[in-house]
Amino acid sequence: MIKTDELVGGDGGASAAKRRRIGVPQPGRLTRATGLQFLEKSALFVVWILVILVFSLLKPGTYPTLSNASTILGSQSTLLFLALGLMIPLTVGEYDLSVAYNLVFSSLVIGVLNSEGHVNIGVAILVSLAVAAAIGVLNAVLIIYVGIDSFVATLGTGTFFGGMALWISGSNVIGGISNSLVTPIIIDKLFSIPLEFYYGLAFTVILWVLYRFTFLGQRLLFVGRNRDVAKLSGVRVNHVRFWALVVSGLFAGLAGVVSAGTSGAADPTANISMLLPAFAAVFLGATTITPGRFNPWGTTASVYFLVSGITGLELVGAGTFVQQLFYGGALIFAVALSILARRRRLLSASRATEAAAAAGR
Amino acid sequence: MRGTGPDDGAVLVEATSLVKVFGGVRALDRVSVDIRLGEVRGLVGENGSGKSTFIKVLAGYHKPDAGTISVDGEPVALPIRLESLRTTYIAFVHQDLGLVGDLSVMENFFARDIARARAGSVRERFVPRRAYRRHLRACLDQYRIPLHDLDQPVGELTPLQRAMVAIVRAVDEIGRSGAAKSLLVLDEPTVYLPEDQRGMLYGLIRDIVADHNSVLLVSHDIDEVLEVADTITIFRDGKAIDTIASSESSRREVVEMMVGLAPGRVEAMAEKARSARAATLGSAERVVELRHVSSGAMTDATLQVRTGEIVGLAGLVGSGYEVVPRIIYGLLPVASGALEICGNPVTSRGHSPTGAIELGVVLVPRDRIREGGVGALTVNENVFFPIRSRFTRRGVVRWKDGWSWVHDQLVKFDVRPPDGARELSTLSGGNQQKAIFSKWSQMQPKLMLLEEPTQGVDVGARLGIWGFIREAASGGAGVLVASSDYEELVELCDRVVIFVAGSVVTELERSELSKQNILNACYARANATRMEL
Repeated sequence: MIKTDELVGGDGGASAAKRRRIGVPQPGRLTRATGLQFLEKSALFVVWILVILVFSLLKPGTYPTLSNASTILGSQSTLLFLALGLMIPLTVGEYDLSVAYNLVFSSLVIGVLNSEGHVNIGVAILVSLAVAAAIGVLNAVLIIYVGIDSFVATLGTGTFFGGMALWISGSNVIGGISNSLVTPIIIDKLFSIPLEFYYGLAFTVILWVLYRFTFLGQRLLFVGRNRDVAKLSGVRVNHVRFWALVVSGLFAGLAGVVSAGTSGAADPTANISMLLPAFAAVFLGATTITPGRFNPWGTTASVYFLVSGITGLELVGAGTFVQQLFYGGALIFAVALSILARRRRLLSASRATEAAAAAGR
Repeated sequence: MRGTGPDDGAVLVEATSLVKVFGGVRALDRVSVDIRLGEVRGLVGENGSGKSTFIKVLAGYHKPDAGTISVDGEPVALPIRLESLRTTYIAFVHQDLGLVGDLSVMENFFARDIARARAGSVRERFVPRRAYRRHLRACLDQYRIPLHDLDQPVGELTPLQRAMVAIVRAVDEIGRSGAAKSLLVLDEPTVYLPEDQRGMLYGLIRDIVADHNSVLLVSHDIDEVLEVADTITIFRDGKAIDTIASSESSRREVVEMMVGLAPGRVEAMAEKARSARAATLGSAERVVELRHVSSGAMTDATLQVRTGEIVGLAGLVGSGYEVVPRIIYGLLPVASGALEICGNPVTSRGHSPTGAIELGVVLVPRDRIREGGVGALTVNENVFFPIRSRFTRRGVVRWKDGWSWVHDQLVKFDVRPPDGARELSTLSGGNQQKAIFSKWSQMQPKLMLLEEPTQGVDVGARLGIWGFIREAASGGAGVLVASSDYEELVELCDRVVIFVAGSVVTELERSELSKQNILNACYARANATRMEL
């Protein structure tokens, strides 16, 4: 966001006299608007702090403790990878409903190869990532070259690979995955937090740099917001859509690796329920930091915000159903909020126009 | 600049005997046009006259079947490859402006750089935001465009600001190309701009034109072209009929050349219809009456429409004139005051479009595709929708009868082609509007509410739609036309009600109607175009 002094001109802008003549809003109004924007950007964090305060007061013995913080931060990396990956096709305007199934399938590939087939864990990981990316390629081909709507195509491929996962596992949990994967994921710790947390953080930083500073990030945005304009400006639109879907598959595969490492096992059903939380985190993330745009820090913050609330509610005695209430509610809330915020912005823009006209009368 | 006649300046782009045939139809029929350095050339013609094909040939989108094009004295290979022109840069601003509403001014401005950046080193992968910001600021300052928040989404800008961003972006593209000479092609840049805001854009266009720049302005608005362009080329039936100096021509001459009517015919038709109707107005009754109605930004509206009368509504954007049809139609609530439709007092609580239709009111909305009809459905389905109950017996729709009724309507309202099975969105703008007009006219309404009835419609369709409106009024309907097109109001209306800042300030009678008078009345208190920005 640019600074207030830049907004009102300074040496680069028009002179004050000229501004008055042409009816540009005066500095006072702009400052207030900027304040409101700041509040909008930081609302999620304010609520997050309130949530932590409330549960700390309710459960002073268990909630505000190092071990609880470590659990909260260390337990969400699978979801975080899933959400970060999902954010990319959503940015270019495509749904990917196959990510959770892809995650399950690729963790099973590790389980089958490593613990049942005794393949080296490194090879197993590479194969599972390749499979995950291949599912992304399949999605991309169906959506871009066949022309199936992404919602339908990924619903289909996801369900298909969910079935494949049940088939190759015989509907059983495959345990006994090599410790050389488990150790660097959940056993090794830095500042009492499992390393997987830092992997998630690292990918957030990478995506943030991509989204915030690079041409590629800007192209993703153009493709997502207006495909025709992007095309006419010279963006290779289908190319961008294709790779967005492949990278989303790859991230689902990474989530699968993290999931296999976290539990030392591959479960053919459990993680399928992560689809909705991932959507909730991405959409909630779009209400903060850069409101109206999907963004990596917002997504990451939302993942941990949501789990902070759920952990607190479970500590005060709510059942596991609270997860569904929370994630479902958050998704609706986030989307509703961004629609309302957008409506308000458009309204205030048209009011400013009227006010500028009125000021000149 | 207005002094620049067609004889000054070297020829920049010279098209000679261009021919382009599509499926047996000559879209371009030996078209020769030369555009000179330093001039604003207007290009007018109805839809289908060949002007879009001509623009597409210039853009390198079509390869002409015959003919040659020279740029800056050198013959070029066809289709034109714009990037291969050595001394000249040709930039285009299309009607939709090519902006993405959700993205910021800065992102939109540098869209091409963002799209085409091909990285060599890691450093080149990053967007140089500071440099972009500085450059954009300088461009906006150069043309004195008061935009301060470069991170504001383009969708929040006014239509005028949007148009200016798109035009300055094209000018900047020219500047950075390093070409010695340039042509800027503006394709209907003001379609979505209210008339009172266009002046600033015209100023910008005049600023751009210099010794080494030329502008080609494509427009359906003849007054606009007469005001801005130095010379005007008129297209009709695939031919470039003539190129005239705008200082020596009148609106009527241009229209008649475009439409191909004998001189004076257009005016004569309008006057005949008006005088025929005037005779019946004496004994007329009121179809709608508003007394001190307020609703939202509208604070005090008092007006009435009688049977057989065409009443115009005008004002600046936001002055309230544009919400009157929506209040009467039950889309916006009446906060206070009284509304009577055909003698029935209407309360805010009970009022809705359904009720309005039952009272014999119809609304032809401004936004053809989003509100007027469903683009993805067929013309049949669109037109049939409001009268479906007439063709339903015991719950069974008699489709065959319905379709043949619709076909008669399409023929009656001159929808081309009168093919009900086509999707509405495949028709041209003018024919879509005629189809939507037939959809509501067939209801035999007592009151027609029209919003910008001919916006973005070519001259031929425009004359046709005006004819239908007059016909409806002669048949006894009251008509209320909200329009920012003052020419339309002058042509059509028996009187025009002017809104300023939410209330009615003046009524102009037939004898007082002229574009200038309407404009003056609209600015009665809000006295500067620039404030609107």
